[in-house]
Amino acid sequence: METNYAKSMYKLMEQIEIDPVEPKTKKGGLLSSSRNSVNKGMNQELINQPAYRIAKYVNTIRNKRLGFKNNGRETT
Amino acid sequence: MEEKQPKLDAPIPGMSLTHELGARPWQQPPQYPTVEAAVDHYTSRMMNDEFADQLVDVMDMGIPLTTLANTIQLAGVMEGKHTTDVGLLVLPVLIETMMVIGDSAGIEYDTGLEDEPRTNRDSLAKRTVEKLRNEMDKKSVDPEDGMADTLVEEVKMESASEEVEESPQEEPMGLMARRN
Repeated sequence: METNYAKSMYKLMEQIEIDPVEPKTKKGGLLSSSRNSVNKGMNQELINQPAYRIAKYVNTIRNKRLGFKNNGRETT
Repeated sequence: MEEKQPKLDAPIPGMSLTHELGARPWQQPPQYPTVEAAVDHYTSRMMNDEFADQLVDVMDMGIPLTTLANTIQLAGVMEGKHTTDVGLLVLPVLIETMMVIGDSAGIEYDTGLEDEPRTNRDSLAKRTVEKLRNEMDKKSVDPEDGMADTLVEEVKMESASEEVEESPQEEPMGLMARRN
């Protein structure tokens, strides 16, 4: 049984993509795909999630920490 | 035959209901209902010098950061500062903040995030002996008694005896054994 919740949460936050791909601008044709508008809605939904915001915080702190470790050079 | 005894140390039925609903802090609305508020609370508290010094001491003892973060957030839940789900979400931020504190203090710490079994981890006795030896070297105490050396040698001998030698594989002798 998994009891190390902190480890699981940390690994989970590492897997969340911080910068979701911006959807392309929708074309005006009747036969154009409606997938872009769906993607945009999903991105907005993802950004509003608390887990996403936490992943962003963690990523920022980690980048700063690694930057201090590497004498001021920030790494991703 | 041993006679069966009743278990008296187990919780009795209804023991969790000995207080009225809402009497416990975690049964009240949380003090920090959002993740942002909880993160602000913890980061400002951890950046306090006194707290950071104590944290560095604990990290130096080899306690994993995951365990520390879990303890901190659980205490927050028990004090009614935030809910359990907010506490779980805050965990990675706590770990990262502790890493920042550990790195800035220049200590080696155990994150608790490694997957592989920690077989090569020094035993507590060995680390204590090495610490003692370092302190003795610093104080330039007369090394004639050789207590630390003896202890280190004993620990080394114990770890060497624990290594299991690989025995040669015996060839199967049965009727169904594979022939080369």
